[in-house]
Amino acid sequence: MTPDFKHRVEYKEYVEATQFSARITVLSVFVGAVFFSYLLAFYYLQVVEGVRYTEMAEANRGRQLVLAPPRGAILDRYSRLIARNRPAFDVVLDREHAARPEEALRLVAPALGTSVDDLMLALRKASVRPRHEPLVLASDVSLAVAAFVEARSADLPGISISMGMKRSYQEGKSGSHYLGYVGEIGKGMLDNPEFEGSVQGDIVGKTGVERAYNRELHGVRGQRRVVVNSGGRVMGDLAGSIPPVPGIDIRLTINLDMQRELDAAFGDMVGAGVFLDTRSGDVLAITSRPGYDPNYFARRFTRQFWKGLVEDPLKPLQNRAIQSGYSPGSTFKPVMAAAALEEGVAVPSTTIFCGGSGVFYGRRFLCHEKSGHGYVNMKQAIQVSCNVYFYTLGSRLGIDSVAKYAKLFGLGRRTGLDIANEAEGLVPTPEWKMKTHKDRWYPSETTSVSIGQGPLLVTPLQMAVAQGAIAMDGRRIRPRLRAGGQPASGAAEGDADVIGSRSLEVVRQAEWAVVNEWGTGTRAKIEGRDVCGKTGTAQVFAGSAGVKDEDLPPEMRDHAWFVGFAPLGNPRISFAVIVEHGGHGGTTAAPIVQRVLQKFFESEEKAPHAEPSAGSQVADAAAARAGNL
Amino acid sequence: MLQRRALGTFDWVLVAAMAVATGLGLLMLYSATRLSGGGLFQRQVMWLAVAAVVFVITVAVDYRFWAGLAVPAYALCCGLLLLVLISARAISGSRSWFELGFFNLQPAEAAKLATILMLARYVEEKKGFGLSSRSLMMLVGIVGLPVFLIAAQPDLGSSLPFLPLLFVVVVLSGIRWKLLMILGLVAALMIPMVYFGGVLKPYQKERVLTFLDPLSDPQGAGWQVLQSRIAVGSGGLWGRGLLQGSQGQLEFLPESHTDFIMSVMAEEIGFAGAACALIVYFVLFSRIVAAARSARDRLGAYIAMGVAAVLCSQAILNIGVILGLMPTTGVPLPLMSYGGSSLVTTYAALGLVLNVRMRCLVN
Repeated sequence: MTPDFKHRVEYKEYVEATQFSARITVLSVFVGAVFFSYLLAFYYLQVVEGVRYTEMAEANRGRQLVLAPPRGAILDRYSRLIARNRPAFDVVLDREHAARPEEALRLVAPALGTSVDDLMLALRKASVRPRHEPLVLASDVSLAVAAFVEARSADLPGISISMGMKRSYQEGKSGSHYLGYVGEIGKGMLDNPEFEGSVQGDIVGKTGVERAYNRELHGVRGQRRVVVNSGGRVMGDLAGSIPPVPGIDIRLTINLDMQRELDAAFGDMVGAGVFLDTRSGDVLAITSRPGYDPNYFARRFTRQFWKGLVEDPLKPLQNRAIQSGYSPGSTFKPVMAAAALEEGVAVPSTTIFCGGSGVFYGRRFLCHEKSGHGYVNMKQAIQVSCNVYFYTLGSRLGIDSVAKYAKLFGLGRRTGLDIANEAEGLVPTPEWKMKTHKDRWYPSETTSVSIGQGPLLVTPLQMAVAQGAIAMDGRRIRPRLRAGGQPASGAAEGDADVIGSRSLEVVRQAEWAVVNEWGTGTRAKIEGRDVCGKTGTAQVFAGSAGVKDEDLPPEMRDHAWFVGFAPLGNPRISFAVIVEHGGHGGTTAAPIVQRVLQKFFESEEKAPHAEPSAGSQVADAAAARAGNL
Repeated sequence: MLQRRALGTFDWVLVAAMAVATGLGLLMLYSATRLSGGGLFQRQVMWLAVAAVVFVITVAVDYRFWAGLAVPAYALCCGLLLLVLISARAISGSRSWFELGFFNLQPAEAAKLATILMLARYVEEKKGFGLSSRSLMMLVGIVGLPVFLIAAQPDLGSSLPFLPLLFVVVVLSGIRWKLLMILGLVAALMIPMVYFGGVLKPYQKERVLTFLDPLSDPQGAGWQVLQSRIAVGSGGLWGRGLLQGSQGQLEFLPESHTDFIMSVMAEEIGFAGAACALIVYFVLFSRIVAAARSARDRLGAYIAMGVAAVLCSQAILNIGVILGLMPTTGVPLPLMSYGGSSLVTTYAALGLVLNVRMRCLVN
């Protein structure tokens, strides 16, 4: 066809005139150059730099998840469970699989004891979190609620139960202080060498045994190496995961029968008590009242709960048995007697006249017996707790000797118990007074110290150690809460066993008489057990001397002490109990001691050769630790 | 209508390159969407069937017939672009889709094809050689209208390939080299004006900045650039294996099934795969250029070169982003990226090219 032919001729001319072909070639070369440079770029990124980017890709997808080891259980001396891990149920909402959560939340809210609005609010707040993270609707719900959610799961799309582990203390408020509690590690604790190796989020012991043996109880964290996607959701496992090493069980020296009896005997009274095995230093029972329930710390406790504990005037968080310094009052007299005998300023037969008061260094000091005790020897002086007798010994000894022997009996220094925050107490000396009060020591102050008053401060634990030393011929033992191993001396090097055994016999006899003859401690008497003890009152209100306790308001009444050991012939247990504002030790503290000692002797009879065997109880404990009980 | 002589010049290499590119794309698409689900792979296969039918139809009818529809097609596309701008619901901040029940239509894709035909028609009908300033204005106008409408959506990625199209047509129409250089200089001077003059949206500026220094904000805007580079780099020589690329499989790569499908390929089948894809695209480009050279008239030559300009610039822009050589622009990779409109349009465009090639001897 001619027009088409013409057309084609015209096109040929056009192609030549516009250098069409050359221009296409230029464009093609340009495109070819770009493609070639891309090829080089791929080569550079993939082959030259490939290893580096492979590492970056691996870092992207790999994550290490911490596998928390199950915490070791805490057992009593007979391997009975005190603290274990229990399963805890959380109600969680899987936001990815809950298309319309309102319906489900409406159904579940009443069971959780909350309102739909609150749950919806929590849901909205969670919207900033990755969607694959489940939202905890309620934590640590009861088994009944967990069962309800499981049973209604068909009506509750996306809502399920997540099981975890929580610390559980079987004894509740009994033993709150020596056990301590656990919680998430605090920011400040991470720098503490005690918690070396811990990481954010670890559950660690914060006080008491839980803290002291945290390293062993905690176990070793494991590691799960996983593949995650960009949202952080776990997609699978990588090789090289390390299982956690469970924490080991810690067996304590505590005798649960005695511990329960001690706390029961205290009832609502405030104070502290310590019972020690005088041969090993084993703490058989130790309490501080009021207590708190450490189980609350394992849960997400509320601000009010914490505020209540901190602001309570009775200071339930304080471990009075080891942290509170009290005036020992008359319970210091056995130590004074031992010092006088050892220093040779008195012998058991040394007789002193008490006329109800005595003048020392120009001041008149009263005896608690206004009419006086008449002539008393050392045994009688302890038995009737004659102040004048001990004023006299104090003036003969001088403050330096008094302080020396007080320290030898373990006062004014930490006993070395294996849990933290023990108080030193205070044994005053002229140097101490110059340092703290910028004043010299007045001899009349020695007179006050001689009967356990003045600046002298002791902890109940120290008094139990001191009584142990009196019972064991001066051998001072280091108290301990963890069972096993060799008993350790509580004495510093070089000053052990300086109290001769013979010199203490009169003191022991006197303490026996306090309980078993006529004396102030007869309420601690157990037939055939030869309990020995000494009562004491620590003044709270300066004007209380000579006033009957019953006439004073409770908060002004004296603190009541009862310390001692048992039995006389073959001492195996020493103790110290203080009841704050308890009035007289003989009436409030001695009966507590009597009840606990009963349990002690019962335990001895059940297991005469003391140390319990492993066996089935340990297996129970292992099962409990794994959360199966 | 198909004549035996036409069959003799059927470009089997071009079809083979298309098939390889499409096959590679489907493979990577399968890998990229396997875990996220949503049936994207199945939808793309369905679109491929549609594209194949469109392809056959495009090839079967002489391109002069299609060119005859250029004006109404161009008008329809511009109308749709206007409509989409006014009515359509914004998807991720941009109004570029029609939601038509079971699928969404992106008129910007069809507009590319209509504009190519429109340009070719104009050059064909314009008699004489050389490029008058009046016809230059005309060409700019033909391209400018859809570019303006698309850029206003705003969809920078879809409007970008129109510029190389204009460039190629202008160059081929015999613009004098000197004038071209002056225009090029003016364009270069306009870059800072565009950047600072408020034409770019803040997020677009951010893309440019993070392209220049992706580590400045690795969690935020630099994420895509960095993750793509990691994906490509970690592929190594042979790749991490099909379905084994952690960057793509674990969703570190955003848009792995659309704009970043090439990253998935580079990660999973390595430099070998990436080089293969580059070669396939270059072969495709070469065959389109060959079709243009052998065209029997201006219309055919301009259609083929227009398609070359659009497809090639899309590939260059897309892979440049993958490699971290260009800021993120949102240009899909022809034949490989997920998207029905793009696939159908690309098949239609390549059908036209094949058409031109086949009918080079027809008189």
